[in-house]
Amino acid sequence: MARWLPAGLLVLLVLLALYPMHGTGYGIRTMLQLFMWIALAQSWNLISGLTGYVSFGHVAFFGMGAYTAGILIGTLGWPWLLACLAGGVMAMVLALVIGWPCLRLKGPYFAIAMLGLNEVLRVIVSYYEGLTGGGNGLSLPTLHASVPIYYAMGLVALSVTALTYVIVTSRFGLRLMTIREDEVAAEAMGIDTFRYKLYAFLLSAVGPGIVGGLAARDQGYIEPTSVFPLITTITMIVMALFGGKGTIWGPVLGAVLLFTFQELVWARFIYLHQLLFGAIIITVVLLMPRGILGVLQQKYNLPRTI
Amino acid sequence: MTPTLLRAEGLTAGYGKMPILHDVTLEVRVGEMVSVIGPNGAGKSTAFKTMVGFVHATSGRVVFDGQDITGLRPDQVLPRGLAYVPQGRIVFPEMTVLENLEMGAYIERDGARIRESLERVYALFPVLSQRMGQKAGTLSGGEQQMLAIGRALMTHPELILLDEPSLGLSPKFVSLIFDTLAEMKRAGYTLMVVEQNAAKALAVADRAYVLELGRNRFEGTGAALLADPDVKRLYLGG
Repeated sequence: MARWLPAGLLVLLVLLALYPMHGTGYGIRTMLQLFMWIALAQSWNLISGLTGYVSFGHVAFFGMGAYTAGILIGTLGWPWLLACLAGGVMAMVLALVIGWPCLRLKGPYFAIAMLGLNEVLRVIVSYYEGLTGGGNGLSLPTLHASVPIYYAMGLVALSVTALTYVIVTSRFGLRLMTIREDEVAAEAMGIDTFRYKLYAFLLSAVGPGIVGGLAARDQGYIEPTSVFPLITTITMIVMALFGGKGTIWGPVLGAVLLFTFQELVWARFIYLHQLLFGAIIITVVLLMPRGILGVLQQKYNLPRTI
Repeated sequence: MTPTLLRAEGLTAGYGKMPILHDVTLEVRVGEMVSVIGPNGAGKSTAFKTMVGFVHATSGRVVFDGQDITGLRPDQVLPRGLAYVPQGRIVFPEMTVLENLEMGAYIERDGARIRESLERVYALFPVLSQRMGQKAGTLSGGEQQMLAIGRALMTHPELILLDEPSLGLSPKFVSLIFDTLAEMKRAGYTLMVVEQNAAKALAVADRAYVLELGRNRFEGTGAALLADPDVKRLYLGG
């Protein structure tokens, strides 16, 4: 498996890179959204899959990136790519502000704080109308840039996945996994758990920040309810869990399968789709807490680096 | 007499504003096995946590291997050759026995030294080598405690601090753990052990301290304390 994987990936990457030359507008925008979900699920995996600190508010970074980029493009006239990168930086700053106090604590406090963070941000954005447009939202100047955004999204998805690979195969990754396994034991071994949790958290915020900016640019219009929805956090969690949290390819697999499924079902049965999502959460938690890849790893004795 | 390896002198420490330790002094010499006993709430575990840096001392100092380590964080103290096995036989449950041990050596970069450490741990705990590929969470309580100790040994520590290694184990495993401690001492390790099981802890110790309400109450050789009528009456239930 390890032998054909790199070659297969390379072929896939080349095909994806060539796709915009042949694809339809709809196809390109669909793929771009798939890349977005891969980046989101994979970023969530960095903090929650690797350290076990579950973030219930990861969409806050997405929204932060969207508004940062939106304001920079809309009012200051920044080039969109630069504005999206600034969105990633601002998401990291936000992660530092919330992670610094919350990650010093062990246990579920972080999860709850993250849930609150998202709600608080949404209210703040709605309140400061002068800067954000408030509940009326923020319109960006018209721009047809689906193809460049396709590549940018793809690059973020690829980078976050590559980053996950580097982390999982490094000592840094081992430290994160000891925190997930047992934080007290990790500390007793002399691991400064707060510092490593914070590093992982900062890294997990960048991707959603950039992707949020790109999504804002792609859609051309953002409003508080469209960039801070709880369902986005839930979707990235479900994708990562379904594919296999804490693995390298699990979140990618989960995003591809569930996004495809969603596209097929969504168009026809809007409510059924949410019902099925709920059913998937319950099934995964009860029957295969390690996700698809986790089950395969166990069954075929695959290495952790898959 | 062998040189002093660790000396905690006049430690006063606690959680928040509530002091637990009052002017506690503990010492261990190279090659010694020292027990720290005392009733619940005597400050035994707090004394260990303060020495390793999880709790900050408001006064007093800790000298390890000639260096003042007072006020350092655990991640600065532990790589200096101090190993700490916390209470409650804590292992990484989803990792195999071998992975747990390898994690113990995470600061070590030299593969040969890691293999050598593994050999020593397996020699001390043969059961761990039989369970190498098994998930740590599926081991029995006593085996998990052996694994927790083994993991601490992977860094070539000069001193091992064990907090209540026999806590919550069945009588059979309690004896086994104390045999293990004696075995470790014979193998040349320097040990300091906090224990509730006072009689057994005194029996295996070269020297021991009795703490009560956060203060030094008695100290002496294990045998002398075991025979001391006051210690006997107060702590050994006889």
